[in-house]
Amino acid sequence: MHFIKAAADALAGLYGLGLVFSFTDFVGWRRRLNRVALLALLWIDAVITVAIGLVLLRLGTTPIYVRFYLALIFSWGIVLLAGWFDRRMGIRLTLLFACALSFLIAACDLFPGTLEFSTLHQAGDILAFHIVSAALSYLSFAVAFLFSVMYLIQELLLRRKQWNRWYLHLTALRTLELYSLRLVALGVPLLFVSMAFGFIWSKVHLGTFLLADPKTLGTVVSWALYVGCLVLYVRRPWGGRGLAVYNLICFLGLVINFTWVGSFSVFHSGL
Amino acid sequence: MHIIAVGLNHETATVELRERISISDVDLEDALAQLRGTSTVLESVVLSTCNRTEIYAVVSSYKAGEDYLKLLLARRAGVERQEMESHLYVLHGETAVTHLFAVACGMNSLVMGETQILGQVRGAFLTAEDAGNTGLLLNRLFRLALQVGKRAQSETDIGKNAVSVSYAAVQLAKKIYGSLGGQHVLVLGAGKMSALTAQYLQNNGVDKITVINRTLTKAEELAQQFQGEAAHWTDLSQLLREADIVISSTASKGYVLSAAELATAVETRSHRPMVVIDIAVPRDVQPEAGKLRNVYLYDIDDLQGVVSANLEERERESRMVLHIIEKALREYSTWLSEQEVVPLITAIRDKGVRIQSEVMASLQRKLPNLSDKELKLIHKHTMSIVNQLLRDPVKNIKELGCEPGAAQQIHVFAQLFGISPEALLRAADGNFLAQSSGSLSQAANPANHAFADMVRRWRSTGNEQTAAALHPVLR
Repeated sequence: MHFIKAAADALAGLYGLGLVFSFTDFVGWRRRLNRVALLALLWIDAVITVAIGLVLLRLGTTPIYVRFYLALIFSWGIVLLAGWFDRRMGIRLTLLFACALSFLIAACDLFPGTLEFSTLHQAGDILAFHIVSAALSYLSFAVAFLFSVMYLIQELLLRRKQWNRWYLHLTALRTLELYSLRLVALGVPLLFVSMAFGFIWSKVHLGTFLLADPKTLGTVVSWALYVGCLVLYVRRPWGGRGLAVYNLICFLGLVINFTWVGSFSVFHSGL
Repeated sequence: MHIIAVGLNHETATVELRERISISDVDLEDALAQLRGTSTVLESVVLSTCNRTEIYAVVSSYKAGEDYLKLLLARRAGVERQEMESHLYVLHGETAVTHLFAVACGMNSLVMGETQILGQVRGAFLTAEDAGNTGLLLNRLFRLALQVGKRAQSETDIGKNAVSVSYAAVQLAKKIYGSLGGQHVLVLGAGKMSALTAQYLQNNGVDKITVINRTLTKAEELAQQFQGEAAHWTDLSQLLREADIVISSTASKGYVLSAAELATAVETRSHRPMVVIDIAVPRDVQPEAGKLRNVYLYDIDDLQGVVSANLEERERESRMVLHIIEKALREYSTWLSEQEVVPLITAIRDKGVRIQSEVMASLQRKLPNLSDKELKLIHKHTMSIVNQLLRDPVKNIKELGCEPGAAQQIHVFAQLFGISPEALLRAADGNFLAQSSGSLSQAANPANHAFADMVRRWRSTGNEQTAAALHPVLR
């Protein structure tokens, strides 16, 4: 496990490096730095692949049951999805913001001292589906959150009439709003599926539906908040800015539920 | 053999002088014929636009070429050579090539990054090529320049952001709506600025344009230009509710759109954003309207601010373009060096083919019973041996030809393959580059040149070393 700990350090460092170089490239337009940033992200991909491979070999189980590994995959997924939006869909700066978020996740969750290797649940298909669909919905919500942040920055610049490089490189408000909403629309059913699998698992393994668990309740509330986000978009009682702020609140709720509320849960303390 | 560029542009000459020196499409043929008619100029391309007149040429000597081109321009313009001289720039080798690349990228234009110049460079080149004024060197150089220009436009943002007030309005609308397809534009006033902005918006895909003016006939005239609609001023409140983009440019001395009117309109729009561009002076729209939720109000100063920011961005992007140019210069230099070893490669390949033919002839004599099919098979395999044997040496000599001291390398290489200097020069027949400035003609007596090359490398530092590393035609 020493390698995993070293990999965690390296990963946080690489995210930091990617962030610094992406930012320097943005400010000073240094193509070489942009390449270094991309290289750093490729290294992250390699490190995570090796780390997950090692876990599979050593523990003989998929690494999704441990929060630490899930955070590894999650941060990698954010960068991957953001990279696709940045390079393929032409929504500039997504990668920069994704690097910042992934670095934050890495700094909070991956540094040695907070690693949780001890919590290893019994593997099972239903539980795996529950965790994977939850992780995918979180991924959608995370990138939707990034788009909302970018929306608010661009909106502020357009209101304050600040024609700087952020204004030039950030995408149009409508595009950011649309992609953010699409990702929320993707995340909502995924989270619903995850909750359904969770209930089934608890019924099969514990003989009861776990409704009183704090994290379960928190997730239901988070899900309802996101459903509200979609309703608000369709009914449009607010403008795009209000919706973007609401999306930030939803994601904040999701993070609080995952980190803080989850710690009170009997069944979700590791995840 | 040298590459030279002689000309003037908006930075060095007044519009009066540029007008006189400018070579129109009608006169171009005559100018190209004159250039073809002299032995001083081996290849030439004339680029003449409203902002520049330049002649790019391959000349036998810098001095003679420069004199001839200056005289040609002065005679055609009907001005004294001395009068014109202070406005002319003469660029040699590397600087001439770099200048052409910069011109093709729009870096040398009045508005940095403009794209029209690329088409003009292409036109100038094709005309010269059709007239028979270009050859090996300029054909390759101009094709590379066109590639560089395209790369600058596609890989950087040098030509992307708006540099006119009207286009800045389009850029702002795009920053809010993304695509302008399906948007409804309401134009207040039928002035020139309104028309220009509406034109840009239509070019960018807006669906519907409605023009409102105090005089309905003027509104109808403008609306007709965009297949739009004209409306009475009394319909303003209703149209404001439907419009996504409002362009206001009336001659009114007071506000024609109050914040209250806009607030009422926005309330009924289900919080859809509205972009209001006020390009009138004095302003048409009450500034307080900018504080309304979902209303993005911009006046002429804001648009000027966008233009300034965009120009700064273009300046920044030009650094990226410089990298592309630098790379293209190296590519051209490498290509020039490769051209010099082409005769050597031809000579070696000819020798290989000759040996293979002799072997085949000998085989046919010794084994007369071989069928056509067998002979064909043996021919194929023996040729394969020749090709495989030569593949690596050919690749290596191409690389060695680009390095300093290539003359000696080529000499050794030719000796190794038993190619005599005479055979080498025979193979170079018709290749001006190899005959005049290249390493090949030096290969017969390489010691002196190798020594000179070594001394040059000792003496050169920094940028000089970079220049020394370039092909002699570019130095």
